[in-house]
Amino acid sequence: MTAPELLVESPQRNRGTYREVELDLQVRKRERVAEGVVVLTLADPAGADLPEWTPGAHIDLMMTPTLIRQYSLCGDTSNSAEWKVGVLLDPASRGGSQFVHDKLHEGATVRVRGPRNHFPMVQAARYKFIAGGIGITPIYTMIAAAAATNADWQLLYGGRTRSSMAFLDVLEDHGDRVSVCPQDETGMLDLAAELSAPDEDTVVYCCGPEGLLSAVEQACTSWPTGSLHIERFAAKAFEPSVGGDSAFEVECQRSGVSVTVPPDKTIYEAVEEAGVDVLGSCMEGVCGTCECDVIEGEPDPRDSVLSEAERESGATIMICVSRSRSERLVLDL
Amino acid sequence: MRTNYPFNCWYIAAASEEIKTGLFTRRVLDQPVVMFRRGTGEVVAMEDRCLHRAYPLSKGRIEDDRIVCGYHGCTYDAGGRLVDVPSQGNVPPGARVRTYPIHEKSGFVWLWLGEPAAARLRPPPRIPWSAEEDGWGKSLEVSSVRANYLLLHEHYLDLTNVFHMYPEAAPPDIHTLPPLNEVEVSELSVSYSRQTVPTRPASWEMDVAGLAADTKLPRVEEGIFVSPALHVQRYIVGPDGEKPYVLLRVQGFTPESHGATHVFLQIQRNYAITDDSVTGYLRTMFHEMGKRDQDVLETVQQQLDQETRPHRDLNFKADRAAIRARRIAQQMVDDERFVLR
Repeated sequence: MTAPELLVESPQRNRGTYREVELDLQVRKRERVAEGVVVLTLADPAGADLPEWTPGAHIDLMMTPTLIRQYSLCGDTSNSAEWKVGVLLDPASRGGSQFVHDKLHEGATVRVRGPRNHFPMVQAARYKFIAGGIGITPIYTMIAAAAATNADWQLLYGGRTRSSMAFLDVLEDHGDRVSVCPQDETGMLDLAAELSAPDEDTVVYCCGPEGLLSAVEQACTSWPTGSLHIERFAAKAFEPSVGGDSAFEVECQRSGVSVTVPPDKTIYEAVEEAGVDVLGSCMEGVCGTCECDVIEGEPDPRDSVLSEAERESGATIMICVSRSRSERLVLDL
Repeated sequence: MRTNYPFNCWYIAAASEEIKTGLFTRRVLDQPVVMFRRGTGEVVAMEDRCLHRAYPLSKGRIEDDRIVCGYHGCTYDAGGRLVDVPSQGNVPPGARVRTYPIHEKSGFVWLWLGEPAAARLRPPPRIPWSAEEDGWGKSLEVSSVRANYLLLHEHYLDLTNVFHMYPEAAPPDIHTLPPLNEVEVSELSVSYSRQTVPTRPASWEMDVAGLAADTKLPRVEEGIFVSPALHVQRYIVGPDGEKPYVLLRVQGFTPESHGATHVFLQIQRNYAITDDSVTGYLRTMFHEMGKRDQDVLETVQQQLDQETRPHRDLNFKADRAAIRARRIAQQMVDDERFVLR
């Protein structure tokens, strides 16, 4: 998540069960790597090791209690002494990238939370990387990993102008694996051509502005399920429930029972009262005991068990705490 | 059966002291591995199988940093290259036994069986809180448990079993464990801590640390699931303002196969560092505890193996560190599987 301007807080943050690692790190180095882009090198002031991470991971920079932004790690995964993030100064900044550019000078200290990874890199024979602008940051680390393991890979890298594109010096060393496409020289990325031939041995990783992501999603519709991995700048927003929770229907398919779940009851309570045999334990969305499969509908996950990918897929639900975004949920109960 | 352990991870293959002058073999992640020390002291690891016939190289001998197979005398150098075939004048060019990255540090030999080039993408293994060199008193035991490695992680990540399995080891004033204060996570690790109200010491603590029976001491228990290969626990018993007594329980869990795990248990302490009787006491005590753990874990594994219909375990709040650890391991395994296959 390279988002300078992620407007919603990650839902994980509000879950009390697990606390994420938080560290006060020092800006060891600050380098301008392209027009409007700085790379910060962060390290523990006392030299302690930092938690391990894998390509695609991101951290939160907690600049003030209310100014918290996510940035992809773009350094070397084997270096446990320091982390690097690349930050674009967004002219429409709502504070995050402005703060980084104005205040986080060498020697400054910033609170950091994480890392976590919603964009993990799976092992594959071939990778097609597509990056737009500052979306290069997670891809940059993935390329280092692909290159180190001798995987076959290609990068299509778009940007406004050549001078605004970070890491070109290193990337261009990879020769014809890398296509650099500044918009003012070559126009828009030709995604239709790039993605015209679905290939079951290739996985596609894309990070960049929303327009690019939707276009890549469009172009990949004929690709096998699971080929495309994208990271959105602003993750799917949780609708703030202004008027509290609302009622919805739950159909328990195996039992042939349908119930209405009122705002003041959990799915677990409602189905149990209706005589459905359910298994639960902690009643806090912690232990995973009450997990069941979702056959139809869109769950509103509120547990602390599922991974981000699992939450997005909506395939299972912890019925002791989670609710529904759709008016009806069909469960395998 | 699909395995539930990741390959791209550093695992302990041996304690340094196990690899002496001869060939040493151990099955790791269901792969036969032979190890030996070169003249320079550096450890070499390779697949324990001659290229010619499926005879273990570990049954051969070492000659000048080379392994000579005990069957037909095929000879391999430390890089795994076949360098001599006694029955044939020429050596098949390019014939090579697979070798594995090794990292030896602080008494352990760590092995990488995953994608060889990916080893350098991961930081070298480290043991949190550990005195790297000889600063602390240490004892070590290597054993094997016929149970899946995740059962071991789970067992030690939820210590609420202590009062049932080891009532004699618990401090006399504590009868149930307070809930975990905090479970802290990052992408690949889980740590937890728990503090107890000041209590009198357990009898073993009086014996090894010389604590007086009537002192009431606060204690902190912390642990980290560092990776699928390692769980470290730290017990700190501290009279306020004085140097706390710290005991580390370092547990390397290395899958031998899906149903068996090598356990590398190291106990470190920051007190009575040079007192061999304390080292012996702790070794014996943790050995006895390990035996009881082993009985339970092997029974659970047998039960699982015999089940004819799938069961879903009931979990409790105390399991939350373990649940997270299982998910981290699962994610690592999933990332290694080519998703489209």
